[in-house]
This record gives sequence, C-alpha cells and structure tokens, in this order.
Amino acid sequence: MSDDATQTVPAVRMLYCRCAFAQVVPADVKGAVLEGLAGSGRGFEAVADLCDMAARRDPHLADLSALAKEGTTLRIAACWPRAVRGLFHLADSPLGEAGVEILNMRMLPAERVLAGMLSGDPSAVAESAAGRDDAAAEQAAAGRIAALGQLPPTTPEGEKR
Amino acid sequence: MTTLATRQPRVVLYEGSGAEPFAGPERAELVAALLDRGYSVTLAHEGAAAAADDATFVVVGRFAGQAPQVTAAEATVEVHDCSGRSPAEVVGLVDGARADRPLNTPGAGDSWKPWFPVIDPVRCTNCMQCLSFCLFDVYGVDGDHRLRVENPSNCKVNCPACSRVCPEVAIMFPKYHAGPIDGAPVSQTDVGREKMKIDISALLGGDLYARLRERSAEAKNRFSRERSADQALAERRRCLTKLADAAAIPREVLDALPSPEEIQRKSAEAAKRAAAALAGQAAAAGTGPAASSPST
Repeated sequence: MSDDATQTVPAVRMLYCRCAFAQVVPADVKGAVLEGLAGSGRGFEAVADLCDMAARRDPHLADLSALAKEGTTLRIAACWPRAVRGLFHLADSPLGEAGVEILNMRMLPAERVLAGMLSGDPSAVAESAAGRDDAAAEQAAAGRIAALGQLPPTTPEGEKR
Repeated sequence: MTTLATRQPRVVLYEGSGAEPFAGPERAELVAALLDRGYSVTLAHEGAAAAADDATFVVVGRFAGQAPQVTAAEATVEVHDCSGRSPAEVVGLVDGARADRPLNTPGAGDSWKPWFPVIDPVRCTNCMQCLSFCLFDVYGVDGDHRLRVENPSNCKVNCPACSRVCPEVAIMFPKYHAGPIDGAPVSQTDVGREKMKIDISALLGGDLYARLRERSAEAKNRFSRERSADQALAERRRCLTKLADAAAIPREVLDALPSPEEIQRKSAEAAKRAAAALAGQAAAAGTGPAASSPST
C-alpha cells in the first residue's frame, strides 16, 4: 500500500448494528443512535445484524478487525462487549485489545452511546462493559449528582465500583 | 431462504462529489429501512469504489440524473439515481437491483433468526462438555483441537441449554434476554449458579439424555396401553416440562427431539468427538498417550 493510500484511511471507523432479528436492544436507543450517526455528517457502516454476519463468517469482519490492528480506531455500537468480541472470534476475525471501542446499546442511553461513537468518550466505553448492577448504580449516582446541582460530582465511598 | 454460505448484500449510500447529500433525518430513515430489510449499508462520502466490496451490488445516491461509473473487485455494481424518491421507493429500487441474490429479511416467513452459541475465548477451557451435550452438531473442533461453533444454523432457536452445562460460563447467546448468557459480565455468583445448573442430572436423577429416553419410553408404553396418541403426547409434555424449566429448554425443542434410539446414537457420536478432541489437546500439550507413545 502506498503512503498516499495509507493517508486516506480514516483514523476512526464506525460500525452500527441494528440487531434487526431481535428486540433485545431497546428500539428507542438504536433508533436514536442511528439518527445521531446519520445526522453527524460522517461516514459509517451499518449492518442489519452482527450475529447474522458472524454466522456467515463474513470477510468484512476480518477487514474491520485488521483495520483496528493496523491503527484505525474501530468504534462499534452494538451490545455487550464480551458478546461482540465473541462474534468476531466466531467469524475467525478476533479483535485485538487496542483500537477497539464497543458501545453497549442494551445498557446505555443513546446520548452516552453517541458520546462514545462520535467523540470517543472513554467513560462511555467503560460503562458499556460494566455489569448491570454497576451501570444502574452509576446511572443512579449520576442522577443524584445532577439533582444536587452545583455540588461537586463525588461518589460516596459505599458506591465505589 | 438464504444459506450461511452467502454474504448479506451490501448497499453503498453515496454522498460524495457529484451527489447531493441527504438531510440527516431522511438519511437515518433510509438507512433504517434498508437495515430492517436485511441489507448492510455503507455511508460513503468520497470514493464509493473504495467502499465497495464483493458483497456490494448497488450504489445509490442523488446524482441528479448523472450516475457515475463504479467498479468493485470481482463484482458488477449497479449505480442508481434515487433523486426525488422516498425511502420506501429506494428500498424497492434496491430490491429490484438485487434480483435473485438471497437476502435474510427480518420477520419474513422464511428468514433465519441468527440464534446460536457464541464462545467467550477468554473463559473457554475447551473441556468439550458442550460438544458432548449438543445433539444437533452445532459444535465442532478446529485443527488445533479447540472448540468451534461449526454449524450455527443447526442450533434450535431460543434454546440456551448448552450454556447451562458450561462450567466456565463461557457460552453466550447474544439475543438472550438475561445475563450472563447474553454476554453481560460474569460474576462469581454467576459461576456458582451455573455450576449448580450442571448438576441438572442429579436433580433429575441421572443423565439428562438418559432421563429423556426414559421419559420417552414411558410415554411410548403408555401410548401402547392406552392407545391414545393425544393422552400419550399430553403425558410426555407434562413430564418434559420439568426438564424444560430446569434447563431453560423451550418445549418446542424437547418436542422436536429425535427418537430415543437416535438420541442415543447422536449422544454417543458427540461424546466420541469430544473425547477425540480432548485426546488431541493432551497430545499437543505433551501429556496424552499419543505424545508419550511415539509408535502411535
């Protein structure tokens, strides 16, 4: 690949999974995330269902996995990170640890998913991998902090994750 | 009906030079309509040729009547001007261009719901319990004697039973409704709970398949005594309910199980494959009989 060609590779590649064969991702979340991505004016890829793609061992998954290993940041809006990594592994295209950011639409509100996808917010990525209880606790804590208005956003000792 | 040998067709929505961009909401509506139909979509701003691959069969954009030429490796790509068309009309246009390429459409009568086990490679120890358990040849082993999901479409939709026998909680079904089977993080509590579920055989007083065979035989005997297919079926269903509840196996799956003889044969076959894989692992690690005996 020439230097010119290398320079044309975008630094970030975004992938959106519609999870079209099941209702496990809240419809309002996946709808709002798609609207946010489409309204961002940036290019992205969207697939009807990542599970379906993995079952077919679609070579495109290998392309995406390779891109991430070559330095492109791959941001994926889908479901649990453990499941997404498992799906790429099943498709013989395992994802590396570095360069892959998975946003969990089963757990996070759309605005947090979009913060991760469009701005690379690392806390959104971290929340995506957290367990249900942790995420709920975090959400509740955030709500309390917001309600307290101007108080500094500290978390009580007992709620540390 | 699509088969897993074919890729889902891809559509490129082109908005680069020479094409008028869509408004945000309109773009989202169009992409959603294409995805819900089963297509993959690439939104490309520049260089549609670079975005296309051999699954791409059509590029759509608002080209104001002057659709450009697009090439993709080893593929013919049609380019369509969709100026002035509604999202539904664009989907119709794409359907027409697809011709006889198979498409797995969500909700269609002949569609395949992608339901199958996904292995967490970090947790899996290749113990082959799932391979021994599955009667439907979903699992296999790769060249390195490691577990592999070989035939995803053989899996019974909505049945997560094999995840219950995994001692490491390494089997996920991403479309399951609850954790950790859906891929949520695994806690120590989950590990304990799942290990308890392995003892389903103890709960049911013996090997799961042996119990199934027994239940089936009981129902058959009752059938011959009572000469009532309906009554026998009802009894079989009652007996299997306990199993279904304990292992979260959908009743339809239990009802669809093969004959007791076939279960026995498949179960022996699966156990043999699992044993061979474990022997292969041991040999590769230098701890098995094959490794210790140069003549074998």
